[in-house]
Amino acid sequence: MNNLLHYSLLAFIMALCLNIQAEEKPKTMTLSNGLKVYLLEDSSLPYIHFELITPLNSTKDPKSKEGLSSLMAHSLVRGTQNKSAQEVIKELEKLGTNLSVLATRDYTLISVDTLSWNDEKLLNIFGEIITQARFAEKEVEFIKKQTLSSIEKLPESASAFTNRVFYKIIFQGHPYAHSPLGSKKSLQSITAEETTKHYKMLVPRGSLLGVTGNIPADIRQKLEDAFKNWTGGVVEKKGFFSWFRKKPKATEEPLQQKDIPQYTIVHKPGQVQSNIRMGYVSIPRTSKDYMAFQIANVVFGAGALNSHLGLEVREKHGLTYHIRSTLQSYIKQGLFYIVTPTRLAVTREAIDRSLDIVEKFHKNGITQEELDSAKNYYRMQLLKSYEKAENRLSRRMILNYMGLDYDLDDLDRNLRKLKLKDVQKVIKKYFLPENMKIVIFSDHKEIQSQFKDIDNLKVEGFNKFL
Amino acid sequence: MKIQATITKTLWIFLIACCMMSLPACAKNPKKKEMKTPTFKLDLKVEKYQMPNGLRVLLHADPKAPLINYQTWYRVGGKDDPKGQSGIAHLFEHLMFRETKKRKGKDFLQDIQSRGIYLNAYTSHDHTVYYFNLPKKELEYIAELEAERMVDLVLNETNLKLEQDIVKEERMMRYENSPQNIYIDLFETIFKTSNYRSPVIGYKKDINAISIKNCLDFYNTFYSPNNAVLVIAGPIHIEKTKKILEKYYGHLKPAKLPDRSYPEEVKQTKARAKDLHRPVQTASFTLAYPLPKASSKESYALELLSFILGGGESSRLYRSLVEKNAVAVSAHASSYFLETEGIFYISSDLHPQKSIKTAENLALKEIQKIISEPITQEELDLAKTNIVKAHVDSLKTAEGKASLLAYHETVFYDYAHSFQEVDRYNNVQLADLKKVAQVYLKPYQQNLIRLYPKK
Repeated sequence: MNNLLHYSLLAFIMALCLNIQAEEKPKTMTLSNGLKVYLLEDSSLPYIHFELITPLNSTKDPKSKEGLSSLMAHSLVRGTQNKSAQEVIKELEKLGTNLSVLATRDYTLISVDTLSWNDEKLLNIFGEIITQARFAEKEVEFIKKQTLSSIEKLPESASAFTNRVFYKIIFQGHPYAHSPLGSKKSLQSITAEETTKHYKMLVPRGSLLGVTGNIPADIRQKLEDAFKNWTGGVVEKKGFFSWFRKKPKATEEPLQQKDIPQYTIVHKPGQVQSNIRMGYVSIPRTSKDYMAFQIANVVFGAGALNSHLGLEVREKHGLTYHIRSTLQSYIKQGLFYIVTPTRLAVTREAIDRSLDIVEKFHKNGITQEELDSAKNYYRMQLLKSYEKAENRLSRRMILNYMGLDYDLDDLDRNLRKLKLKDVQKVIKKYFLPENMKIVIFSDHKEIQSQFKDIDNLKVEGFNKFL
Repeated sequence: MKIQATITKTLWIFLIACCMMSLPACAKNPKKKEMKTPTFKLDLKVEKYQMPNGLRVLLHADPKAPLINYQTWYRVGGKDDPKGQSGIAHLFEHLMFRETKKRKGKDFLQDIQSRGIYLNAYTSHDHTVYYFNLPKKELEYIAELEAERMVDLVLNETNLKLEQDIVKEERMMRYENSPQNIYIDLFETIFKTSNYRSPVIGYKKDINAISIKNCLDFYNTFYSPNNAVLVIAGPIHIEKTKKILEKYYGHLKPAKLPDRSYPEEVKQTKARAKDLHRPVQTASFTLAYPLPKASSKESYALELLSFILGGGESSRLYRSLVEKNAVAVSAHASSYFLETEGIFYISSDLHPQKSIKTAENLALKEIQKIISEPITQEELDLAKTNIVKAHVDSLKTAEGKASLLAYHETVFYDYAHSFQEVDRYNNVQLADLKKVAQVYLKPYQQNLIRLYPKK
């Protein structure tokens, strides 16, 4: 007992020294319709925030109907059985609500918030939106038109457009390839009827609801009332043998990427900068190597100006204003890539210098000093991203949704356990210069002379990716 | 980071202090039963003082925050760029991360990162802001660094040339390669005599022409304790922090600041329009009107007015351009206040093949209506609720609180000015909205930028 006390105290003190306060655990409960609810009290400010995470995602879009999940989610607010779209929108805005709908490759996230004294009104309208959406043809067409115009405008935002192209090329043949928004062609083929059918997949069992802020004492009853008409989903069988039941596993095997050209130039006349993406399919979020990969990546390119990439390409040679590398991990696969815009004249130089850094990184790995530094940097990023209570709960729910029962303390524990040899192993395994596929969104005519020596290069028009 | 693994007497005292600091809540959350019309009243506990050298310091202890936010606001921005040196305030912000007398370029950044510190900076028309998120044990390190950068920066040709290249890349990314961004054109159209006319990022030829001498002059003129506001928010101990600041900033000498009067913007007497043809996919337009400065009493009514006109999807512009007439994907209105001027602007992105003229006329019709026809109490209440809500949202992090305090201390010389913001919005009446609409949205005050896809 004494030992236990001693260790608990020690852990508390260590957490304080690291500036990580023990994270308060959210309460959980399950409503009678099977919806799992997480509650995190935060009375520091007068607000309440609701966030629904549903398993509907872009991989569930039927073939040639890409964008259906997103279209359905965005159409939810366009009217209920009793209220018009205008009435719903006005009601939300009267409460000062920020409504956010985010359809991703793994889940759809819908969040609303208000000042705490409006909690009941918000919950009523939120429940109505989720359980009684109408999908009138006119309203679905409205969202379709809005989305089509947004897609048309995408090339004006070079960075967002290059990401879209990069996913499409790198995830070729995988359900992650298409943007959750869909394409102009696929969207045009989706009908209001198909959207209504898809809505039937939005069910409480398997969905997660988070509530943060000033939570009323009778929250369970309020939630039961707000979502009483919402049913459906697979009932999870419980019992002794459920523990042995096999859960679906993410694939860590890299996709076959043989048919992808090493270089793809996406041509748009008049571009005055080249937007570059270099990378390949990598590990899913559930991989045991995830943390070591992230730490290696801080040293390589995610650690602001001080990373190997930042120091070489920006600080030493002034080739770009912005360069970083990212590991974007989803449930089934991940994507590792370098991002940088650069002036046309030095496009090839920026790529070659970056490739050179990958090669050296693979060969030399990192030092103990760099590892310690990266851990400190990553810990700070974690603390920052967990500062807002609603973000804290959201991150926890998303990890739970992905099958990981982690909180901030667990993440910090994993970080502390990480040894230099673990990170070196991951660098050898995953930082692979030979796997790099390069996508450049640029004016081909202006940069083609820099790529004369490259055989494995394809030029595509930008319109193909709209 | 070293982990302290032994329990000492000092540590116990520290633990008790931590618990004590976590007691008070920072904002009052009204009880529903006590108030008829609930609202929000901000009341942060702030320690404010001024050092003999003129540095103004604000300290806010927030023991629950996981990191300390450390911000230094210099009262210098794009509007202070000398003629022919547009962009120098911003370029200088870049140079501040290069080298000091004690710290060389690469080591500078590596040392910061190895301590788990995040740093960044931005330059606006009025201010240059440097901010850090740091673990509490690094407070002294950052205080030393920031005091050092205030007076001991090393400027040389190599660093200047490199940062000129990087800034030109930034300019290209934000403007030349973002053809939809019309910010530079808008400011050039609306401002004829004000210093706000020049872009903060600068003109390319000016960026190229900036010399080391220009940089040194700029540094010696504006980077001094009496031209800065320092705000620290987060898990800090007030008395210990004051001692640290005294140690590193106390001996710095104040500078003789230049006259800070700026050319006034000439009164606009005729509507202006500019047509742009660029490689955009679809057309858009921006319609702007000159407004008074940030400290104007009318700014609250103007902000509410812009929300009613184009703050959300139930706003007048959105309903007309996006919902009813389906010519646009978006329609937005906002008020933007600077230290000596302001701008009321409306912007809208059109659907492909839709005519700017039609959309523009619809927007002008809504402006005419808001001037001449009644605004409802329901519209005003909706706008107030949304602005109060945004205020609450901005206070969820130590960085948000520090930014709010710093802005009000820098612009109004009083951080507590921020505590009455909600009341100032709540006191606005329908008649105030009508008055500002009639005064500031006159047809001859229009500045219209039309952006067409280049054929």
